[in-house]
Amino acid sequence: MIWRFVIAFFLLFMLGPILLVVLFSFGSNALIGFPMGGLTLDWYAKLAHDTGFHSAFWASFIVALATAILATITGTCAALALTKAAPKLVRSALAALSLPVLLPPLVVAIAIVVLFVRGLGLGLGLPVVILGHILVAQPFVILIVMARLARFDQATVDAARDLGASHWQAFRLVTLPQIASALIGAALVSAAISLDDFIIASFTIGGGNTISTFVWGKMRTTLDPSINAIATILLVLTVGLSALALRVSKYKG
Amino acid sequence: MTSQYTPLLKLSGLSKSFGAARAVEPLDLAVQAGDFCAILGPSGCGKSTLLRMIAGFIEPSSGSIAIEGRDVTRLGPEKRPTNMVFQSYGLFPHLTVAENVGFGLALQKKSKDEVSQRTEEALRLVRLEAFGQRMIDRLSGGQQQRVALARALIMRPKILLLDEPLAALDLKLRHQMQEELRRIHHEIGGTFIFVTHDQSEAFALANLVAVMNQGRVEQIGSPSDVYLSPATLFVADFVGETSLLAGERRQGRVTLKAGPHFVSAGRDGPVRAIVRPERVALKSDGVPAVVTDAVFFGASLKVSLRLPSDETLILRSSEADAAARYRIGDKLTVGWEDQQVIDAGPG
Amino acid sequence: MRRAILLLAPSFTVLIGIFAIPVLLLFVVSFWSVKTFRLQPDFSFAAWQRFFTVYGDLTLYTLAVGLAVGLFCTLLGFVFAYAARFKAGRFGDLLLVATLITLFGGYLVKIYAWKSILGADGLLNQALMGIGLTDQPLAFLIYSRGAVIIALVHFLLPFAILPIYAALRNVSETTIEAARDLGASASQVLTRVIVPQCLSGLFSAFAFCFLLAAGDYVTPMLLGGTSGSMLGQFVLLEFSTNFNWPAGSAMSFGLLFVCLLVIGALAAMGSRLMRRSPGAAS
Repeated sequence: MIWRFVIAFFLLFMLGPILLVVLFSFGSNALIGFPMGGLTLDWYAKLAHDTGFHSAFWASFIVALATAILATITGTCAALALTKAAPKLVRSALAALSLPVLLPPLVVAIAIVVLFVRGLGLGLGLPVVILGHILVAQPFVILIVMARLARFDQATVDAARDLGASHWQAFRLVTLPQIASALIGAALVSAAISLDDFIIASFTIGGGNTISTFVWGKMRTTLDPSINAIATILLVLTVGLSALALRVSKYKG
Repeated sequence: MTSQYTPLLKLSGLSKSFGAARAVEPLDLAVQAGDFCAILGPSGCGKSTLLRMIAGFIEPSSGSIAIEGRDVTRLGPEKRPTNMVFQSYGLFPHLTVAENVGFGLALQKKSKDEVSQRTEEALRLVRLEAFGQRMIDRLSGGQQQRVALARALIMRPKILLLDEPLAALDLKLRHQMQEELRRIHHEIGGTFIFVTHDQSEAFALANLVAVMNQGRVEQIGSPSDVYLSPATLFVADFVGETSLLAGERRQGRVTLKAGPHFVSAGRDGPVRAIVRPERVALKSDGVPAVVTDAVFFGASLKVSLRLPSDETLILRSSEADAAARYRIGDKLTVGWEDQQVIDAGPG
Repeated sequence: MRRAILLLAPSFTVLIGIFAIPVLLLFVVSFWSVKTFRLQPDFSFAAWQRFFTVYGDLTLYTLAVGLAVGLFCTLLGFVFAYAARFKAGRFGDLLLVATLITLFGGYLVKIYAWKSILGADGLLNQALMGIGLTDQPLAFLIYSRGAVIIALVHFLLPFAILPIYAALRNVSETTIEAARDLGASASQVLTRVIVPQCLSGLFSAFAFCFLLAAGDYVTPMLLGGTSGSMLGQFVLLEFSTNFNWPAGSAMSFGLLFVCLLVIGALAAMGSRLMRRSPGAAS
């Protein structure tokens, strides 16, 4: 009985604050606080006509899509190499590739800026944001794909080779279809990580906005009541992608 | 070039080491067309490594593999005229039964008609013609086994390799599949090589048995050879439930520690006499023995006897009143009809 | 072997190009100097000196916040993971889904939500005034250390739950049943069977939350006010406003080193404690 309260408390603590933002994004009253006023879609309508939001949305879309594709490729390659490697190599390679996630994103972001601006003399911009996001997303891709490969029956690849398939044919016809759902899951998680990131993006984007940096701009002033709506959109995108990833990768075992 | 003297498969001096560890000692083996050959041995004896070398998954450290006189030692598995039924089957979970079976032919870019026609044939051979459109995870273990078999057989391999093919099945299903394998081997007249740790399975299926231990082939022969005239102590011990009795040979005469002595030509020195349990019976002027254990197996009774030498002798009786005749603690005298004698090193 | 190297090449190219080289460069920059807003290669300890003299107290305070967040996250994470693993039955999955979907979502939204809840005209103050517990808004709710810690715990809790849950999943029911069978009480099962088996999970949860909390600057910026500010904010200040990159760099690495020192010390203490405690695995 007491555990029910514990569980309810946790769910309330974890989900409550987020749901509050979603709830108030539909309230006619400007900011969070009661009474929330009548139900309205005004704030969303307002965003639909906000060109600043449009460009932020497209920037986020491009960055998330590129991150999803590229991090899934780099991470999957690494996972394929590591599943067959000696345990010692696996541990050190995983530790090295996970380091960017363990350091404060502030340090990573500043380091990237110093390299591009001072070290290389290059400008900042969306390509730099994408590179930073690949760096942070690829360890998660590796974990997801390696978990799938751990349950993978190597005999299926042997069987394909035995039946006349080349290495590449065996990968394309047997390995890939079997791990496809994990790869889609990993790509969705990468996209969620990319959309959710604020710190790396705000340092490396140079000019313009992603949705995160756009939200940040509104949060600092708190005068713009459409903030609940933008926050909700950001939340729906990131949480939605994570939920979808969970569903897709669970779907086939 | 093949002649009637060229075996279908010839292994010469084949060996495999992983680092410093010898998995398979250099061995020679010849398998003739039509043979049903069992590689029998305990787990870790190197039998699976041997099979995977024949299939092309493991490159040998030394020696050569020839099929129909052609050296295939350096060929990858996709280029060898062998196909394999894997222990875990290795069925493609993302494909249907028919797609699994037709996989190899589709790779060869055969026409759709040929693929579907031969798939149907192969499925009929393993009696799964109604299951073509099923997904793999909707099949029972025995059915999956048949799909794996059909998927390999459709390639018309010169040699079909089976890695512990029945290990994952329960006892009853295993007996059924043994029958099926015999029927299929008979029907298509191919050459099968399979690996097993189960001697009854080896004897039930094979006409040629190679017994392996610690990377070495201890004996190659027909099942009856291996059973009745084991070449080494290991074979005698591993194949069947035998009793090994210590003794000494002097000038063509063996005296067992347990008492009996008999004529046996050979080198002087310590020997072991191998006694088959079904050859042991009550005998009025035999060796005194005490019944230490009696286990009822349905068709027969297995009795453990302690001899004066403190050795254990196994007796198997299928007489109807056996259970009444052998009770734990009973003192009686036993004898046996004949025994195999093997030289045993000192100690 | 060659195949493995080829497959590892893309990810390590990103790692080295976008992480290893920049971080090393950043470290080198901490020894450079700044003259009239221009960065000059140098071998100077001025930035490090500035870190220790000007930001010493703030660093200690930042560590304290990080430790508090790490401890709360580990404790709550354990209770949550324990509930999900052993007590929730079919709700266990629901709890995990809630954890997983909020893992990569809503960093900024979560902080913003707490601002709305704890603010002067926020929900909590409204509620307190509504039921008559107070007649004016409690100002200390927001812009305080407490607010920063609550928001950071909320954000980092999913990251603590996952490694602990993974460790708990490996605790087999059989070991628990065996302990019960041998006469262990429920609390003895917890302290002698379950916790020892998931120590590494608890420790990685703590270390991760501690590191990320100590390195955060967004949460204190929005919720900390003046009493709740943390070192990260001043790293940002040195970098952007003061254009003192060496100082910002020295502060980043200084904080990192101190954090690693704390984690290392805790790990050493933990393993010594484990060795002494009776019944611990040798």
